[in-house]
Amino acid sequence: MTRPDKYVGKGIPMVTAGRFTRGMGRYVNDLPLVNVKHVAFARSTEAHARITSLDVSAAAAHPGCIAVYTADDLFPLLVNPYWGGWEGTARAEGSPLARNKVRWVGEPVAAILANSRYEAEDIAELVDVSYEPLPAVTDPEKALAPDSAVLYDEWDSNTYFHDEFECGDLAGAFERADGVVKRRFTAARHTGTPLETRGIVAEYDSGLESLTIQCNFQDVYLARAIIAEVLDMPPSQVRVASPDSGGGFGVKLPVYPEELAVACLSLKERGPIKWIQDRQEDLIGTSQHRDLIIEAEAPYATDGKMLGLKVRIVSDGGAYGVPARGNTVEGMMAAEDLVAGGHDIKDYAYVLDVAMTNKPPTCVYRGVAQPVTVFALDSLMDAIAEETGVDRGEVRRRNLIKQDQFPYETATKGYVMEPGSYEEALNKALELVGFDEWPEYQAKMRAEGRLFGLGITCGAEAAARGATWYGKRGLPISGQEGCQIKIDHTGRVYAALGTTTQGQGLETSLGQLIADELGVDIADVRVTMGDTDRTPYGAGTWASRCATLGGSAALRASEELREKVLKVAAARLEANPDDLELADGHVSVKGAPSTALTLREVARIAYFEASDLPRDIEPTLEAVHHFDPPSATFSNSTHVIILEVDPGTGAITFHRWVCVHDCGTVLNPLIVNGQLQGAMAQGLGGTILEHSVYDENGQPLATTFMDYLVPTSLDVPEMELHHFETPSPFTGLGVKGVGESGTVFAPGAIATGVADALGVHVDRLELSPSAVYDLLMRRGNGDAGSVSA
Amino acid sequence: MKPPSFEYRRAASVDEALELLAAGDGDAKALAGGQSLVALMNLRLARPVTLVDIAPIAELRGVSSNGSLRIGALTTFTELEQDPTVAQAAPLLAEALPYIGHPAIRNRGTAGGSVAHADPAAELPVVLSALDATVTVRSRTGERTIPAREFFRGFLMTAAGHDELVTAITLPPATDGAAFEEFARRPGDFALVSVACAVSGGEATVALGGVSGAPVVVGPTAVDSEDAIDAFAASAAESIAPPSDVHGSREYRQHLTRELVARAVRRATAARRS
Amino acid sequence: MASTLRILNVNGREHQVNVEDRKLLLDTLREDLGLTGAHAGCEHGVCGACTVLLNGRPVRSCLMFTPQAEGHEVSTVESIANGDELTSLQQAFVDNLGLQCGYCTSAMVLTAHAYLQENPKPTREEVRDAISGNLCRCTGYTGIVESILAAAEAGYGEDARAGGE
Repeated sequence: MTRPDKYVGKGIPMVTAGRFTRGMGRYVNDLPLVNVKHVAFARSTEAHARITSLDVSAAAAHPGCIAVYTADDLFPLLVNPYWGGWEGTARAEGSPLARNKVRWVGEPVAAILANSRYEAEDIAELVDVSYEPLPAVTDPEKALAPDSAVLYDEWDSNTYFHDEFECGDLAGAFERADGVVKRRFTAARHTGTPLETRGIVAEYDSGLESLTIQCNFQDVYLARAIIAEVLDMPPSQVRVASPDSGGGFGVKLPVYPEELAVACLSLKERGPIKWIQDRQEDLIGTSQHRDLIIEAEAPYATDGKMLGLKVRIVSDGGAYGVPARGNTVEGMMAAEDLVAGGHDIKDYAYVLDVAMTNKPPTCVYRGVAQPVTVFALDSLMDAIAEETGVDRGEVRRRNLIKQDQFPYETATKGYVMEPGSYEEALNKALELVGFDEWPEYQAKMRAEGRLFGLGITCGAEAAARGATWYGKRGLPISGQEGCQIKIDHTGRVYAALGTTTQGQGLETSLGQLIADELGVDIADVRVTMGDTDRTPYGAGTWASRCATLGGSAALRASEELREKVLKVAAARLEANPDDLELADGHVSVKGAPSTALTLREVARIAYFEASDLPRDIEPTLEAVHHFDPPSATFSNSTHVIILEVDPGTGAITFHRWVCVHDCGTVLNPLIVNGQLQGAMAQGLGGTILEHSVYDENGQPLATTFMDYLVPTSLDVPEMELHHFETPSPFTGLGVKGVGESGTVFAPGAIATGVADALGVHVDRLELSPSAVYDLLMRRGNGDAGSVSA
Repeated sequence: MKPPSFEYRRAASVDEALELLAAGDGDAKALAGGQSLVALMNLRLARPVTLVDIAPIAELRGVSSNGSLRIGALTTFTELEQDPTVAQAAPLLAEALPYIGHPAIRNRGTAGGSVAHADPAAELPVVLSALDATVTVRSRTGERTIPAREFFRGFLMTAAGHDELVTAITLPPATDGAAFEEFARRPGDFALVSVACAVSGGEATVALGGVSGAPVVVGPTAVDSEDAIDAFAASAAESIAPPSDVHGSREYRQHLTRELVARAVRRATAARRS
Repeated sequence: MASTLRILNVNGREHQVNVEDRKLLLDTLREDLGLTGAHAGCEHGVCGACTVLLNGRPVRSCLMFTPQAEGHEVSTVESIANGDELTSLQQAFVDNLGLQCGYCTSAMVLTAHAYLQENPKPTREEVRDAISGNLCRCTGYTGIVESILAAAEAGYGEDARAGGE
């Protein structure tokens, strides 16, 4: 059967974009509501303390106060308190409002209901809490020490998760080695800060016993599972729908305490309850990430081959097990992805500790750990190049997995990697920047007093994880994705998926796929998602999974529907389905185009004239499929950048940024490029600008956008984007994930570039001007240099 | 974050504003563009009991030049950017204006508001200190003119009393050469370090922003050679004890100061020569 | 706190609102006038998502109390329209992936609308500078810059100035 590519592969503008340019987006704070009550929270000002008294009487006495809730008030509603984390993590009891202790600055202590957010905040200030401060635990390594203050009285340490692994012959690798690179890599804590903060509207109808949640969760099915379990309600009586979402990036995947509290409150109140997070609440309470320590020992041979890898990883997990994933994902992915970065590493060992500290929890943010593992791996490549004298590009070539080694099972057996264009992408990127001429160019610039550097990151990026990653570890997260497609009785197409949208253009890219499969005009395809009442069971939007998994499910459903259309038409046309083709909204006999039915006519038969159908064909035109990938899909990418460090200010200027990327089959190049550029901006921000800083008392120091610095249009350079397409054998149409790639490869490219510019090791993924100044001082033995002479 | 309640009063004249400020007894603040004040109130870091909206007072608008440049307190930064008199009579100020926030901020932010707010990382206080400008304040009991170098007392602290309103800023005639340098984490952010440099008769004076609670003035010092410039920059850096904070360490700010002073003085003296 | 009746001129029409003096212009526009195109992104004047035009110039509506807007002309993104059709500026955003989640888009469109009238044929660098006070977390800015340049190429600035749009 032919499938003309009228749409797939074209850069079609997003079909949903127009209304946003008119201000007609419908984000959770835009939903028109009647009799809505607003929530504000009284929050802890201490990082670690016992609550010695909690007096809400003044708050309750305020004339505008509708209600005040504390942990004791919510307790009866929390039938099954939820503590996030997969098997093997330490457990404690979850409570959306603080009970007895507070464990991070900003932890909600009381919830206030009023008729306006303004008033609710006034009343929240009247909640009177007394604390007995305890030592703040802010350093994850110190948190693991036996003498540390412990966050959970029922635990004997702050170890949330510990894991050890060894495989292959690491001892032998060290023995054979010509040298060993030893480095300690760290990264600065930061977060996703979508421009739209979190927000939830919850309404309980006590007559119907049904709870409706509208919230910009990224996984409405997970949210429903958690909320239904906590409140002991049948999931079918809980509806979770995500309206338009102003960005997620992973930080809207958890079911946070505030959202859980609002869901609980709605059972006690009449009418909709609304909480919209403000930016301060976001910066002190939404999940934070990348706070990793990777101590690496890499034995190598003189030809530049890394012979094995031994690592100790410490992840700063934050203060509580965040529902549902818990706080291990970043640490665990660091451990898994160091040997899934596209390098051939078979002798491997890791020790992983995830520590509880008095900070917001660590969950998942675009790229999850991979920005740090790629930084570590490419820094190790450069270190090996430095020690062996082998060219930086050649070292990478020698370590990349060879084509004939695919499908490649990673050392931890966590993944089976499909082929990509690893070496091709590296070679192309290096060629584009003129890598062979680089030493000469750099020397020439140095002679003029200008510190130019070239950074390289190169390797694989895991995406689209399946059930093995979460479901098999005990979490209610569905690794699969579902797509239901209906051709309605007028012949128009409607598709629904269990994903959610934050602007990635899935409605367009999947619309293209479906339109091509069903031979219709894309304007006649409407794609919807993100509502547990209206879509097939899915898992939302994360891990760059939607086009890969959702697309695969959509492809299967389209194929099934296409077959059915041909069979229905065949019955009417008295033809063999194999002799029919479906294109341009018509089913026609191959070679006899005048013998045709419109899709509308076919639909008419299927919906209203089923008596004409053969016995084995059911009425209507609907199909639903679910797709689960084997383990994950692997895209590959190379970033090569040429940057300059200003010794006078520590500022970094980007002169060129080349990205060669392979995400398999490209459904829509416009959308793919947009994902790469946007992700790269976040990777850059997290390296040079964004930092969730905490002092030794656990007080957050970056609590507004004046101190937490999101990149502006003047901070983000334009990338030169080039593509290879190595289709995945595992997914429909061979699509691989792309959403996180830019974030994964940008930071290490900047860090290796700065290292090259200054001729020093860069061990920390925090390159603010002040940090660059420290590197300059190290380089100049106490004199950072100047450009002003 | 939503602001706390306050009493909103609108003043149609300077006299009315002064009455309201005095009646507030220390808890009333003038509201002009609000670009600093409203942000602080939204964060609940500022809680004036009364806000006196002085925006309607026409007398406080406008720029005039007769040797000195007189800027009415309610003149917005955009108005200053677009006024050719300013570029002509105060090139140092004109050079600093694009660093102030972003156009949307400059469309509302006023010269008087910036001066009354007195953030040491803001551009206008630094420029005024370098130029030895004066600030005119008025109360019900009269008017006084305070040198900018005495006006900025510390972080968000000025020499103006609670019942005094900034009505105008006066800049002396332009010097032989001038240059403004600033380094911020992102364009438009508050300065990590800013340097406003005025050169007159072979001597440079710089005012440093972002390094202390108030702009720090160094000089006048002869800068008639490259060595003299470097020495001046080094001594300026050594004379300050800047804070360490999330944006940079003390040592980094000192290094930055030295770098930016050197750059500013070089440009200011080159401008003079050409 | 008591509410006060205020007369606001928004999108060319007079509106009466009855709000507390402390209510931010942003919230009054969104809640009392149903103009939800302006968005709260930080409420302290940094992100620009709340941008509206005051007498034709971009300002942050989160940094204005409602009474301060009396006597001025306020324009929101809802006033940028070609009847029910998109203006060429808005179409340029659609065609050049000038948005993903759309949360910054109202502000970007308004900022571009005002800017292109001032500078109808900007360079790429000038466009980047013009939008530097508006944060976007999704696009990495390239698509937005392309969109504004495309609109400039199509003559949007001159047309808007002449009142043609």
